[in-house]
Amino acid sequence: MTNKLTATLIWAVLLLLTLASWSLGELNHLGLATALLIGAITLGKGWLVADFFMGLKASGGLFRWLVVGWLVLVIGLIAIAYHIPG
Amino acid sequence: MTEHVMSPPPAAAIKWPAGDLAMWFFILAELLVFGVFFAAYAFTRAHHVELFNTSQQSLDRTSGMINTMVLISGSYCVVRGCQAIRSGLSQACARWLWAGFGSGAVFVVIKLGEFSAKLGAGITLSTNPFYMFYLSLTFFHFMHVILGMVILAAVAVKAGQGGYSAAEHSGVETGASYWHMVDLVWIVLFPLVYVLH
Repeated sequence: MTNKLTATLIWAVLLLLTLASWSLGELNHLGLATALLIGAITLGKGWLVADFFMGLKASGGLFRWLVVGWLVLVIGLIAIAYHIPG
Repeated sequence: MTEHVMSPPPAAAIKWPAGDLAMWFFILAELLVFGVFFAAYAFTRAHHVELFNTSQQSLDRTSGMINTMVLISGSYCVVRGCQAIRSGLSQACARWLWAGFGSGAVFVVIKLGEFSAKLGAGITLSTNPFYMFYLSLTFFHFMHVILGMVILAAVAVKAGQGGYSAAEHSGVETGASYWHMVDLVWIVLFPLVYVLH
């Protein structure tokens, strides 16, 4: 169960990560490393929401891994699609 | 030969997520649908990279960023609402849930501004594949925000009337789980549609 301090810290981290990915998006050209960094930030944000806001870290089990697995799969597919030659 | 019979684990050992289990199956189904949409966007983009990049430049990335922060803040409010009701604080729970509802309302207003600007510029679903995905994906998510707000309002009203307690508040947890799913989906949608190019 997430306590008040943890929830507030997670909230602040999520806002900072959002600012970070938005700032990276302002670059004229995103290279492979930058795009992968944005993907990693997105994965990290989603994982934090699943674990601490949805409370899946505390409950654990199948549902945690289904939600985290969804994140990994979807972001992985997006990463693959972004590197297919147009 | 000795026969070993596996006994099922005691109920207390099985950990389920907070809230109604039926809602969790609904959430998983929703994630699956959005996941298919996201993959379809990404693989369609792979065949129209220039078109997607050019069209994406017309989006207001700052609005997208603000909306991301608004939804994350709404999720935080809902978490605080859950914490309040676990301590038996019904009125505090209701206030936090209304704050979450308010964040949803801000999201809706900003999104309506975006939709209005695009439609005003003559952009529709049939303009090109990028706008087809942009409008349909974001509108589909927009409808989930509306449903989430309806759920939060219903739960907040009941909490305000003392309908939940520290011992029984599964309705709050169920509504919260749905709201967090709406947030989670936007966390992927924002970089996919607004940021990556």
